[in-house]
Amino acid sequence: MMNARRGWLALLIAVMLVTAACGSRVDAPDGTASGGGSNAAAADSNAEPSATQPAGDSATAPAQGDATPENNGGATDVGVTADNIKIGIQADITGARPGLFKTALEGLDAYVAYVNANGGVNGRTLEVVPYDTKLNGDEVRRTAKEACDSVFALVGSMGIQDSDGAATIEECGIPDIMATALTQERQEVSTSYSPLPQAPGLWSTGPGAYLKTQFPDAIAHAAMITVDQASPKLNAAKLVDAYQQEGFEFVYQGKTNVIQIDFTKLILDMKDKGVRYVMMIADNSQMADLLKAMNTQDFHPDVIEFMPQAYSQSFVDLGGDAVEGSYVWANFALLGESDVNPEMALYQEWLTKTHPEATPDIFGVYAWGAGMMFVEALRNSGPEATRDGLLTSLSEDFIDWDANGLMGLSSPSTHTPSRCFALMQVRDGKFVRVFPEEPGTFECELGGLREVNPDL
Amino acid sequence: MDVKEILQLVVIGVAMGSAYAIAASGLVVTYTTSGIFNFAHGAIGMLSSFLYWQLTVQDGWPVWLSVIVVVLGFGPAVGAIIEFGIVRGLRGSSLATRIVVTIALMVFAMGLATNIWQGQSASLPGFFPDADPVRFLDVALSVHQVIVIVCALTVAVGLRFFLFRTRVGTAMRAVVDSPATASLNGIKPDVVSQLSWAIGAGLAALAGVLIGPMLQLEAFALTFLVINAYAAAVVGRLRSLPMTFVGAVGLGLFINLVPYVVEHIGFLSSALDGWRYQPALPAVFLFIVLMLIKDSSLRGARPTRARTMRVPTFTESVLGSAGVIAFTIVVAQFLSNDTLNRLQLGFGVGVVGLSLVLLTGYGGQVSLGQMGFAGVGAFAMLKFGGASGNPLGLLAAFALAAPVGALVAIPALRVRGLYLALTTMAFAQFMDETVFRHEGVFGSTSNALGRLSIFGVSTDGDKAYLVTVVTVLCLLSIGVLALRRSRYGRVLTGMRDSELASATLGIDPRAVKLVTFALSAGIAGVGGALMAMANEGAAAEQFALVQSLPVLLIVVVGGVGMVTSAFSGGLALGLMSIVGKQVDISNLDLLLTGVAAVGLSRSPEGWGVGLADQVTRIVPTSRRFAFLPGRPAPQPEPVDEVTPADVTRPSGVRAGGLV
Repeated sequence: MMNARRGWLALLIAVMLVTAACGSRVDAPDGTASGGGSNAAAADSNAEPSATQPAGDSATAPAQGDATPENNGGATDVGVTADNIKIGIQADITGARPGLFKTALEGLDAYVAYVNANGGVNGRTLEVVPYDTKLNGDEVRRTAKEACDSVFALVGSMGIQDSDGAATIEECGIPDIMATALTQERQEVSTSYSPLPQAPGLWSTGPGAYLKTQFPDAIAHAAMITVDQASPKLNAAKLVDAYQQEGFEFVYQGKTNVIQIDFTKLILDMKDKGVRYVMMIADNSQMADLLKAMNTQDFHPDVIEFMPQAYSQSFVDLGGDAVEGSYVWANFALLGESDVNPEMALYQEWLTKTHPEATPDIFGVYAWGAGMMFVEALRNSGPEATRDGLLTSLSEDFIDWDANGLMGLSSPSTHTPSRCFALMQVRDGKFVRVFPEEPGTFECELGGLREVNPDL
Repeated sequence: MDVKEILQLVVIGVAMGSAYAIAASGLVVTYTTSGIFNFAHGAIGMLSSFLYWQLTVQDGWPVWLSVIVVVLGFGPAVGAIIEFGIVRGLRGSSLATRIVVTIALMVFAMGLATNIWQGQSASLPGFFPDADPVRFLDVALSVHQVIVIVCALTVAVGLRFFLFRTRVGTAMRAVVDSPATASLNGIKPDVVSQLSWAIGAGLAALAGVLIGPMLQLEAFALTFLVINAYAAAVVGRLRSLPMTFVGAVGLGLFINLVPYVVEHIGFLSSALDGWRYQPALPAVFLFIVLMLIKDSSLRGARPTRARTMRVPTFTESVLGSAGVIAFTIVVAQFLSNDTLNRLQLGFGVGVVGLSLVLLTGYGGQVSLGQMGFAGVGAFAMLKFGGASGNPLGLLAAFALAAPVGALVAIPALRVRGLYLALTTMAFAQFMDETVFRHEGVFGSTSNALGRLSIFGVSTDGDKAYLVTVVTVLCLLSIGVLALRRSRYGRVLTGMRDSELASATLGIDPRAVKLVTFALSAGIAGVGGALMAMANEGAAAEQFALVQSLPVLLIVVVGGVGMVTSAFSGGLALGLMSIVGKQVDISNLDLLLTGVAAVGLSRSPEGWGVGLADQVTRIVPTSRRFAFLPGRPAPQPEPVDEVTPADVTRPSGVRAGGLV
């Protein structure tokens, strides 16, 4: 009997482990990216942003530099040899939500493959060292420590718990070019930069300013819903503060739990307060659930506005008909406009080459942009690759920078956000450009950078 | 207050509660008919949700066919396999073992789901998603929600009828009370037990199919939602299905009405401003219910097979500790910083596990809330140790956590066994969701913390800190063993074996429980401080409820009555973390806990007991350490002897426990 039971158990375990190894894949999920706070105030920038920013003229030639392995100085810093530079990327790949920011790793892989295919930088090829942070603060801190000792720089990182690496990175001074920082603590690290920077005390109001022109009455009845977690709440508070300066009146501000099975009370409250303009900061699944619940409760506000993390086909798939009519803005080139944006075309081309099954998305674009910043700064710093040289270039050379048209104009060196955006609306299950109408362009005049309290 | 608004909240609460009722019903069926509280119940539902999604959304099967396959096929099959392969081996085992095995299954299922269905941007469609909702008091209930309510009522009434009005149902209940008597009446206990688990798991699958559309399809969220339903099951005293339904609706009402009341009462609103209390409401409800019910003896309580192990002498414990520390010093020289750090964390958790050796192993009190106390200790270290690593912080960790343990023990005095375990779980959930996340405690980020600096000697380096953690674990182990050998220890184990007998001997079990909880919490607090220093920062996530579950697991697997389980468990956690980094399998540590569950079912006392037996066969006790000069051969210690002094002393064990 005992032997028979052991046999069954062995079979059960074997089946389960084999099944686990085979796996069944779904589309990469979307996480919560703060994404906001982007816009350059004219006062801080030497050049005035144009009303519409056109796409770059041609794809960036990869930065090669003139040096060779024989004369580039050799092993000039941590993670550097005469022919190779190791760069690390921290991303939530496995853990409680597998695949959360896997596309960031894929985006960086694609850019590195592109650079290496064109000769690398100053005689050195780039090598990506992935650090899976598993949505775990301990792993973020631990891998940051490991990165400090073994790679030249961190590039393209994204993690829900990215704040847990802040102290370690600050202490060791490793350059940290993030895809985007999700917490203020990580934004404030002195060696952290981002192709679409965020400033704790600034927030963009461009999208709201445009929608105000279209729905002037609705903005007097606005609502903000956010998941009850520190980072989303902070971002929500800043957004509310900034939009109030734009003339919005928030008649309702609500919170949801991380695990929320019913939104009825929240919706009834919004109906009761006469809400006509809804914004939400949460993960895509919860935002989709809220929209479906709003449909059930027959609550149809004039405007539903989402931040860039909703710019994902999976969000549309999750919400179905309930997502129709929602507005989503992006501060980077639209994924469907690769025909008019050479850099977007390049990203998608090399993503297909390196990860044929991958889907282009916002996190991949951010990571590609982080890769571009790194390579440009590396070339600028000269053949002897040093962390200090890289940091000097990062702090000086990226003023009015737009990743060759891939992103809205911003100044990463001074952590001055972009004020540019493109607004879309979900129509028939697709994201359709609404403003500015011309494909491949951004709007950079409307609204602006509003000062908000960084410690809200 | 608006009456209409309140009535709307009632409608919402009933709808929400019905979802919980379905989840809780299966729990009650399994407990009523097998005596085992299945912590993996939610996980079975979660797997069912994923499978249902796979069949309907990915593979395009008809909904009706998918429901049949999942609810009538997959769910019952999983239940039957679990009963045959694991649960059957747990008969006669301790409550701790039975709890841990089902927790291990839960954790394994989460690991399985995250590997099979990677990525979670998927949602389950509800039934009849395009149908018009049903409106009541301006509240629209989707057809799916109405189906959930109807199913919940049907399940409650139907199961009640089945269990109490049919021969099969009666046989299922009879097997729990006495398998031997039941078999004399022609009932086959194994078959009936398997049927019970099949039905329970089938209900879990039904819950997964019904509740899945209400949440994002994500392993952890779906699994832990069912934890909220435990309160409903407790209202039904784990045996009454109609009362379980009532409890579930009550839970739904509580979750919806409390925020409304708070919002409309000024002083409450001010007092709770800034506190994230809403996610903790299910835990509060559970706690209130546990305090209100009259705890009679639970069904399924039966004599256990727990053995009493020989307790090492003081010399043996000191020499053993010295050996472990020396070994650690040597091995640490060859390990990378990353490995050292993972082992530091593992052994820090080992200290928390040691607290359970005292509380659960010696005292027989099962706790699922030790990480709650560990978090208190980490907070104390943050405040009193700070960036300088002042060792006073470590003392403060003990001193602050111990009274918290005593406070938790006060309401817990009136419950025992499974109810006590659930009470401690409610405490841990409350601390996790509300207290630790408050800005004044850990807030939203990791708070920087320096490692211990002892008389000017810093333990900041990873090698030095690993040795420090292991040393503290050894010192505490020596202390725990000394307690075990003392009169207090004998009183404790005597109470574990029979509280009633101990009371007749004049021992006040309440005082003993209080002291034990306090000491255990203090040790867990030290563990929390060590964990936080390993991370060089304290954050709420480190002490979440989900972290408490593996602590009990590692101790029970290693042998809950042996301090060596704290060492082996800590080492195992560290090694799993190291291996998990190298192997490309998502959440490998979760999968490996499933192996632990299987192992426990074969060896419910834990592998440590088996190993101790092997060592004793090779080196009999009488010959150990005989090589020491001038040392007579040690005699085996008397086991669990209650001396006349313990009997004649006035009732109560004085605070400090060493009378």
